[in-house]
Amino acid sequence: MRLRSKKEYRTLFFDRAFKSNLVLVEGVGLCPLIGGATTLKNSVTMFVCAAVTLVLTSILMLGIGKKLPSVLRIPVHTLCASALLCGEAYLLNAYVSTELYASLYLFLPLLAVTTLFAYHGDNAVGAFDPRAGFVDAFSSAFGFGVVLCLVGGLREIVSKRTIWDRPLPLAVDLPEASLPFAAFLLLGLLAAALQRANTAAADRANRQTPTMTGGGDV
Amino acid sequence: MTITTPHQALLIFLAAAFAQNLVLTTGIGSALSVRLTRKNGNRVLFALCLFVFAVLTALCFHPIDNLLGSGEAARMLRPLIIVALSAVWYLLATWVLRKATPRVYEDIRAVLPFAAINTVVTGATLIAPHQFGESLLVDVALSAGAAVGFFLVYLLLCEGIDRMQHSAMPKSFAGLPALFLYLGILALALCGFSSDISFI
Repeated sequence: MRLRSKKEYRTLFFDRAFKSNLVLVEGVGLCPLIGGATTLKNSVTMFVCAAVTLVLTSILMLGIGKKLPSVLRIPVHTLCASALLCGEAYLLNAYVSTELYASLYLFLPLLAVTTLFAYHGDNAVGAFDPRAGFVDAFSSAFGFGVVLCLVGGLREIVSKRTIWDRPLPLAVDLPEASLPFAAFLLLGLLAAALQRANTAAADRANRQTPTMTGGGDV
Repeated sequence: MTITTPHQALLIFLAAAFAQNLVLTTGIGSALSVRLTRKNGNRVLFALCLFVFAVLTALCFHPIDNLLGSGEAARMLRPLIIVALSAVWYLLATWVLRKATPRVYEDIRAVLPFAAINTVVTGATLIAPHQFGESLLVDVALSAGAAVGFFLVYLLLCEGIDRMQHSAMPKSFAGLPALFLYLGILALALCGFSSDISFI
């Protein structure tokens, strides 16, 4: 796919990040979300790592994916993603925060083998030119990050009464919200809200189409 | 805690598969089960492949992990080695199935990479040395339990998917949102079976 105008890029970004959000519409990349997104800090860290890795591996696959036999594409994509995430984990541990690395020790490397990467890597090969591929990968990661931050932030507020480690004056105290079931329930509600918004937008577009056609005829 | 006896390894297996189902208590493999539920295919064959890949990866990873030791570099490299092992098993399986049983290979070629390289195989192999110490028995028990637990959740989701598309379901919740809520309720139900064994 070769995109020409800014509007087409905007549409691709909006579609990938929100309308066809990979987590809420396709159900991919759930593992780090359920287990790892218990605080906003964890979520932002995973989002940054996922975005860097997804963009770089997607560009790599757009470059060499077509030349590889189909049987090798997913292993190569996953190995590259895993190697990049190893490097990011090292940087996180050495230069950012050892505590953050310890809390994400299991879930950061698992990002590489989530369906987010397999699904994206498999679909993107040959579908886009490099610029559109970059926008596609970044917007997919952005959509993933939005859901990560919403789920992580809400779970932190309810379970710890803090946001980004800052205390909040709340009476709610529900430490169980950091357990996986709360993330599943939150995802269900978010997916339902998006489904409702998409249906409403489609209805609105359907109502407007005949009017516009009629106006053109006149 | 370091676990070495067969009895304790059996407890780990039972916890990962049933009482503290690894998919529902950690989220590992949840996206894979959701995606596969929405597609038609040979469920038993897929689960069997995943079981074999999980056990083989755990068996091969154990001696490599012993060589690596327990330093910081080993901790960093573990995930990469597990993914590389899974990729090798996937390529070997593809080669063998293509030569030996082309018909079976055609049936599962689309899902074979997902059976080999996924969060269940990598996650279980990564959790075992991190949470339970160095023991081949535990590595294998946890990987096998995770694969069985994945299959159980997959079956439960397949059973529920038709009901989630029912006409009585509110439009906004039909399909994936209901599937997430269903998983949430199942995970909530398992909270009552917590024990000394903790996976994360």
